[in-house]
Amino acid sequence: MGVSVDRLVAARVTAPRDPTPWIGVLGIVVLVAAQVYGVISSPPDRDMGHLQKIMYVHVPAAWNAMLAFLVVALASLRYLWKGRPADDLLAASAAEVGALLTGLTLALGMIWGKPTWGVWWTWEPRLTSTAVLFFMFVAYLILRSFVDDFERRAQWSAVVGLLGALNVPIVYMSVRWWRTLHQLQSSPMTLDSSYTWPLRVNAVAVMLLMAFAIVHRYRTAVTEYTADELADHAALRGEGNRV
Amino acid sequence: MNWPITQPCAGRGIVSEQNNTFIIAAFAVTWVCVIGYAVHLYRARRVADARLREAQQTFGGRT
Repeated sequence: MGVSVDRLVAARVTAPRDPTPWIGVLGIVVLVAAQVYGVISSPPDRDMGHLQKIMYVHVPAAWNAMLAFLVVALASLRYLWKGRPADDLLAASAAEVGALLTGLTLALGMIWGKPTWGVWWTWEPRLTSTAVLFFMFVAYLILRSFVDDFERRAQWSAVVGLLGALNVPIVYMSVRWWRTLHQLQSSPMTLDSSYTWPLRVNAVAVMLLMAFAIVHRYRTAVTEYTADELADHAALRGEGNRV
Repeated sequence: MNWPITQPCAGRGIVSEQNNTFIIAAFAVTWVCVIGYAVHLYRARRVADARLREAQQTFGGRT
């Protein structure tokens, strides 16, 4: 692999301190409070009635998925530039969380679409581009599971991660570029003021959970990497089999 | 064309109350996802820690 034991130990040591206890618990508490606030405080929408409340789970998931893919893009670029294993592991962790949030966005969109549009799914630009984004990052994760060589896997992943992240602006702008069925991006300009604060609070809650998940996944990835490196170096010295 | 797409109304809105099923389903799916992934993260960490301990005991290391 061409990575010294010192470097892998450094990667292990420089991993952020375990945020498990407080960021995760804080995220859960804030999410519960935000959802209760959103459900109780916001009036029914003129057209959608109480279905509007699905916005408080659908939109935060979509926004935070895009944020996770921004982390993938930055970490992938940095890996290609500096070749640090930690950047590859961070990109992979963010990609896993981003793919999960994108899948959740699609599922929630389908649940919202059926009663409002009359269909679970339609091939309109926002839905299609989001599905493409989702499958690109599923492919990213599958690719990682198929390639054993660390450097090759990291390089290919970085390229796929960057290509996938390039799709994010297309997803975001699709509702303006091709005006079809999906409504415009949710913002203070397109939402009544009674919906903006509950949406913001829910978005922050999901962001806290996303940050927790990425950092937790990253620490796990660093631990796995360190165990693999120890085994590989021992195997090179002829000390035994890989764990 | 940035008019407010979502606007409150005094009544229940055009879509009927029977859509509560969809609202409950959306929140339920979200929580299943959150809790399911939290369990996955916890298990993955436990497996990784066990692998590292085993590697350290077998091969040594300064971690």
